[in-house]
Amino acid sequence: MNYYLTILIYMGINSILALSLNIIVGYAGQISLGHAAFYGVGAYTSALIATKLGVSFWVALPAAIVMTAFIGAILGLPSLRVSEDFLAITTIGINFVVQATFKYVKFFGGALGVSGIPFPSIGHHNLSLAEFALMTTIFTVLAAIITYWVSVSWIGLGLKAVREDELAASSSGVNVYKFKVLAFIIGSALAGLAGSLYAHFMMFITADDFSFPLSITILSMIVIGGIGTVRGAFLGAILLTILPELFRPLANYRMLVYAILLILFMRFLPEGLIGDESILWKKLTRKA
Amino acid sequence: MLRVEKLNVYYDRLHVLKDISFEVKEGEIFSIIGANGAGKTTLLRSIMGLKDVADGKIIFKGKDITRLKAHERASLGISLSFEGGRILRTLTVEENLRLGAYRIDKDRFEERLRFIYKLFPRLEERKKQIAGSLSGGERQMLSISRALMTEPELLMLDEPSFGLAPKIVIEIFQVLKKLNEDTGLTLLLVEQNVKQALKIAHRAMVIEAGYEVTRGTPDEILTNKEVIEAYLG
Repeated sequence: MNYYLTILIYMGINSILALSLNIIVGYAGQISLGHAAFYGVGAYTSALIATKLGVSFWVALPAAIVMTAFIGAILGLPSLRVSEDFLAITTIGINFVVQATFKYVKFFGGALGVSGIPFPSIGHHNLSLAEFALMTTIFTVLAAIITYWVSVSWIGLGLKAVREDELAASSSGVNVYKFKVLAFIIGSALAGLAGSLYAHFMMFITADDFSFPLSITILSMIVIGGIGTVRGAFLGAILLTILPELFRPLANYRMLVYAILLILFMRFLPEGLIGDESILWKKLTRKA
Repeated sequence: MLRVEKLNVYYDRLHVLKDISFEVKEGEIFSIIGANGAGKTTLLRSIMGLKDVADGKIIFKGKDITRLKAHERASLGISLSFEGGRILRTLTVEENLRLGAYRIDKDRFEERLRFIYKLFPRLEERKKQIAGSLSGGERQMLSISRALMTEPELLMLDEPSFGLAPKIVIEIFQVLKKLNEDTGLTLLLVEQNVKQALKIAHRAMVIEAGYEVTRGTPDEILTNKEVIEAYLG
């Protein structure tokens, strides 16, 4: 039972990560290969203020969200200046720098990471694993509602316009800079939420939990599921959480498998399994 | 309404616009005519704020807008319909129009939408379609409509006849003329299709390789020897 609850919690955290990256890459079209950095900022913020200041999870979580949104705004600034391919390289760089900062700066716990992070509690009652899973699920649903709302609102229209054609967007009165930074702020804030959940679930984190391969895994989730859609992000996150569990012997080759899947999907199925223009989704919606 | 003073624009070291000056008065249709590569598109992009100006001034409604960003100029009342449309192909027709109305409120959006659909009834029939599925003529109509959604005082059009069948070109130019006559909208029109452009223009300017060749009323230009030799054969 505990095993399945743990998988459910991972599924929730991964879904939030996929949804959050989807805002930056899927809606706004800003390629980011360093999303694990924002996840890490959220986890470390939550872990450090909980352990150093002794505050509870309920204080650490919103603080982590705000901090990650702020860092996201700053690290999103390169997207205003550089072209698409350079942004990909810049975000990889950001991932490595953030990871190295956590690993080598003593304040962040160094190579030993941060331990003794409190498991969430209400009053004197420590949450059970089932309660934590329920809480994660609620946060996941909230994250889905927020990203859905973003996608159908004026913000979503502005983001998609920036993705499709910056010149056309700006001559229609859309402030391209504002929307790019906004995408990084919303996307990072949600990654911060995921990071905080992760830190207080694991109760022990190290810098290597937020490395570049994880960024590629998150990107694989949305590409495989269907980029730019809420349902695609969910499907991708669920698949890439369950598959490694089903194929344990392949665990060592996981990154190889993800990389191959990523390439195959981008080449042959760029709309993913259930993206808006995918064959499967078109068939499903036609019958309905 | 719009005054351009000694505009100089470069692409790297390539000098694309050389001391271009002209004025567009309120309520008129001003056409800029020239061959491919004369600098027409660059001129419109510079006025919209999509291309940096090296030297010179752009004055709109008495305000110097030379250093303003494109979205700021859009909110002052300048709008551009791009060559080939540049519509957002993965969004629906109505979403494209909503984008144009980005800065106006909801009531005026509905009102504006009815105005557009009256102008181009075909867009209303296709409002839920993905814009990428439209024909060339419909895309051009959508592009003009999107530019109109911002409630501009100056509408700039970059080659609205580009790649279209003659019948549709005539239809679009009739709409533009009607728009100018009925609402007093000021138009700055850039065209290679000299005959159509001069037919609806009040005044026009001919440019070549970034220089002004001549300017005047359509009649004056149509009787200008140089122009006849270069464009009308």
